[in-house]
Amino acid sequence: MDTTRHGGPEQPGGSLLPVGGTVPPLNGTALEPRPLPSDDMSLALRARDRALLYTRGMGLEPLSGVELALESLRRAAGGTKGDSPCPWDAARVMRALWAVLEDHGLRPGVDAPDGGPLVSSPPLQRSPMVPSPDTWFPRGRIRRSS
Amino acid sequence: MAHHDMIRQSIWEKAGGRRRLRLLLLIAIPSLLAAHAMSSLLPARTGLFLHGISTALFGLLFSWISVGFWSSAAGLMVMLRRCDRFAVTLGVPDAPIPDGVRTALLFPVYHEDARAVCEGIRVVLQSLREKGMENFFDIFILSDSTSPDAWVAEEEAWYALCLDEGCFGRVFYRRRRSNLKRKSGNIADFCRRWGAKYRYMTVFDADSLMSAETLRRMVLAMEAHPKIGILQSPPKTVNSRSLIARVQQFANHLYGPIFAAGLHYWQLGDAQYWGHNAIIRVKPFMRFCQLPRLPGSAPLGGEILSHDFVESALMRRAGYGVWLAYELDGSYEESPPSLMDELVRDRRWCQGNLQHSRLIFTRGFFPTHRALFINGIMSYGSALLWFFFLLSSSAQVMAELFVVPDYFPTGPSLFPDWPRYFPSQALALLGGTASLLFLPKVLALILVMSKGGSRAFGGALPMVLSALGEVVISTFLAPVRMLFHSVFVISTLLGRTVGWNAQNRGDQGSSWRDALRFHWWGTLLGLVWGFVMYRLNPGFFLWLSPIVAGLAFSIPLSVWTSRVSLGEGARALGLFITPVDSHPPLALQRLHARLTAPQPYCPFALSWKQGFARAVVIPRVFALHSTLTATRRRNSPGKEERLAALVDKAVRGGPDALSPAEKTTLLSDPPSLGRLHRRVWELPPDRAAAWGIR
Repeated sequence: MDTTRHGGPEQPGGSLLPVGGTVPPLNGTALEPRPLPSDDMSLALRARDRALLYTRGMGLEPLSGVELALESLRRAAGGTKGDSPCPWDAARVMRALWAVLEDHGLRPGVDAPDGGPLVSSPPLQRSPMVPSPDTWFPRGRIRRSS
Repeated sequence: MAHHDMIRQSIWEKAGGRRRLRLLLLIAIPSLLAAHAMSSLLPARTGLFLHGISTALFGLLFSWISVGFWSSAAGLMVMLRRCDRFAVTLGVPDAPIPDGVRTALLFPVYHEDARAVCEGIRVVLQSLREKGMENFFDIFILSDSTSPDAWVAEEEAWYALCLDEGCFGRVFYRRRRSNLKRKSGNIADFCRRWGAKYRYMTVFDADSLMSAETLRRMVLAMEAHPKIGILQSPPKTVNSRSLIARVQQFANHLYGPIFAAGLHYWQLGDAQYWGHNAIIRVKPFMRFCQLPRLPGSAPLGGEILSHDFVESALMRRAGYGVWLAYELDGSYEESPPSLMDELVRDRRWCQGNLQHSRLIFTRGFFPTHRALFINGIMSYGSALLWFFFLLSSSAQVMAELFVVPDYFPTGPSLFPDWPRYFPSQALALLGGTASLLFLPKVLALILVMSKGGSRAFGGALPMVLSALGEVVISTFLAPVRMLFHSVFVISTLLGRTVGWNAQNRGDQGSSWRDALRFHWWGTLLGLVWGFVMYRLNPGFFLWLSPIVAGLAFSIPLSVWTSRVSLGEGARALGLFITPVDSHPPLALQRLHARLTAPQPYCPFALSWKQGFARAVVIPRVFALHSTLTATRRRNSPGKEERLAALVDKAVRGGPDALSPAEKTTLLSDPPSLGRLHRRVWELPPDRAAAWGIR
C-alpha cells in the first residue's frame, strides 16, 4: 500500500503521520492541518506504537505490518458507534486493528508448512505396557499402578 | 570362534560367571586379611565392642574400595589387549542402517532450559542429515513440565527449531498433563502412544548429546545381536566451566575409559542401564520392563525413583542382555556445576538406590543384578560406614584416655601384659589401602601415556599435575560428601522423602550465603571434632586432619569450586585439559556456537522465562499455543464462570497476580486465553506495562 496516496509529506525519520499530526481521510481530500495538543500527540504516538507492536508481534512481513497498522489507525480515527470519544484510545485502536486483520483474513492460528493444521505430535499408535503379571516382590504380589 | 558368536548368551554367561567368581575371591580374601590385620593393630583395652565395630567396618570398607581397584585392573588388561572378544560393537559389519529400522530419540524434559535442549537436538539432527540417516530417526521432546512458563517456552523453542530446520514431521513435542511416575512414566507414556512404530528408542538426558556415527553403530549392533535388550554407551563429560566441573570432567576422561572397560569385563551382558545415552529394544522393554509400584509408602515404597537399574534387571530377567559398549565414543553429558548441585542430585539418587533394597530378593532377578543393587546401595551406604568408622576410631582414642589399662587381664601373674604396637604393620596396611585408592589413577595415567594420548590432556606434565590437583581437591571434598551422604541415608531410612526437582545446569556459581546455609553444620562439626581430637591426642589428630580440614573449610571449598573464573583460570594454565578441549568434536563446536550466539531482537520486554506472559501478549506465541492446545471439549457453565473470573483477576493484577495453577488453567483453555489476550492489549499504557507492552 502506498502511504503517500493520501497526501501529506512524511516527516523526517519516517513517521507515518503527516506534518501537524492529522490523519488524512480515506477519500483523499486534504484537511486543513490542525496541530494536536501535546497530550493528544502523546496518546497518538502510543497508539501508533501499540498497533505497530502488535503487527510486529504477529511476525508479518515488515511492509505488510506497517500498512495494516496504518489502516487500523485511520479506521480508529474515523471511529464507529460505541467507541470511546478519543481516537487514540488503546482499546479503540486495537479493535480497529483486529477488524482490519479480520478483513484481510488474518486470524490467530498457525498452520503447518504444508498448509494443514499444525500438530506437535504424530498420530497415535497405541499399544499396552503393563507390569509383568508374574513379578513377585517381597510382601506380596505387585499392584498394577493406576 | 567368530566375534559374533561370543555375544551368544550361552557363551558369555559362562565366561561372566567365571569372571565374577574370580572377582569375589579377589575381593573377599584380601578384605578378610586386611580386617584381621586391623584387628591386631587396634588397642584391645578399649573393649570388645569398639574393637569389633572398627574391625567389621574396616573390612567392609576395604572390600568396597577393592571393587574399584579390581575394575580398573581388569579395565587396564582389556585396553592393553589388541582385541576384546566380547566388545559388542566390534565385528559388527559397517553397513547402512537397513530399511524399515526406525529409532526414536527421546528427550525427556522437566523444567529445563528449552532453548538449550532444542539446540542440542538441532546438533543431533544436523549430524544425522550429514550422514544421510535422517529418515531412520524421529525425535521426541517429552515434557513433564508443570510450570506454565516452561510449557510455553518449550512450545516456542520446538516451533522455532522446526521452522529453522524444516523438521516438522521429524521432531515432535508432547507435554503430559500428569507427570505420573516421573521420568519412567514419561518414557512409558511414549511407549504406549507411539512405541509400536519404532524398533528401538534412545533415551537422552536434557544435557546429553550423541553423534550420528555413534547412533548408527549402536543401531547396527542391536540389529546384529537380537538378544541385546539395552546397549549403554559411556557418556563423556563436556561443557564444564566451574572448577569442580572441570575436575570431574578431567577425571571422567582420564579414568572413565579404564573403569568402563573394567565394568564391561566383569559384567558382560549383565551390565546396567544408566538412564540415558543408551539404546533400548522397544518391544521387550514394553513387554517386560514396566515398573510396578512397590508395596508401602515412600521413601522405600511407592514409585520406583531410580528406574534404570530396575529396568535393566527386568530386561535381563526376560532373557535379553544389557551391555556396556565401553569402546564407543561420541556420547556426551554434562556434570553439575557446583558441589551443592551435585549433593542435591545425590539426595535423589540416594533415595532411589536405597529403594532397591526392596528388590534384592525379587523372584527371577539374576544374582549379578542383585549384587548391582547392593553396589548401588553401597555407593551411599559406604559413606555412612566410613563415618561410623571414623567415629568409632575417635571413640577409641577417647576411651584410651579414660580406661585404666589392665596389665593383668588373665588374673595375678608375674608377667604383665604390656600393650604392643606394630608401626610397620600399620604402615603396611595404610600402604595397601592407599594403593587400592590411588593405584587405579596411576594405572590410567600410565595407560594414556603408553598409548601416546597425553597430548590430548595438555601434555604429560600438565596431565600428571592435573591428576595430582584432582587428588588434592577430591581429598578435601570427600569428607563433605561423606557427611552429606550419611545424612541422606539416615534421613531416607527414617522415612523422609525427597522431591524430584529440576536439576540446575547453569554456571551461576554458589553464593557465600547459600553455602553458609548449606554447610554451616558440617563446618561446625569439623571444627569441634578437630579441636577435641587435637586436645586429646595430637597424633591421632594428624591422621584425622584431612577429614576435619575438609569439613571445616566446606563453605569456602563449596564456593570456590563453583566459580567459573577458577575453572577457566585452571584451563588457561593448562590444567584439567581433556580431549574435548584440545580437539572438540564438531557437534560440540556447533552446540557451543549456537548457545553463545546473540539472541535475535525482540521488541517485547518479556524474557523466555516469562512463558505465560508471552503466550498472553505476543500474538505469534499466543497463536502457536492456541493452535497446539486446541480442543473440542466444551466447558461446563461453572467452569466458564471460573475461567472468566481468572481473566478478570489477570487483567486487574497483571501476570504476577495469578498462581502457577491458575496460569496453567488459563493456558489450557484457548478461548479464555484469547479473551485475556484481547483485554490486555486494550489496556491503557500504565496498566499494559505490567504485561511488557511498552
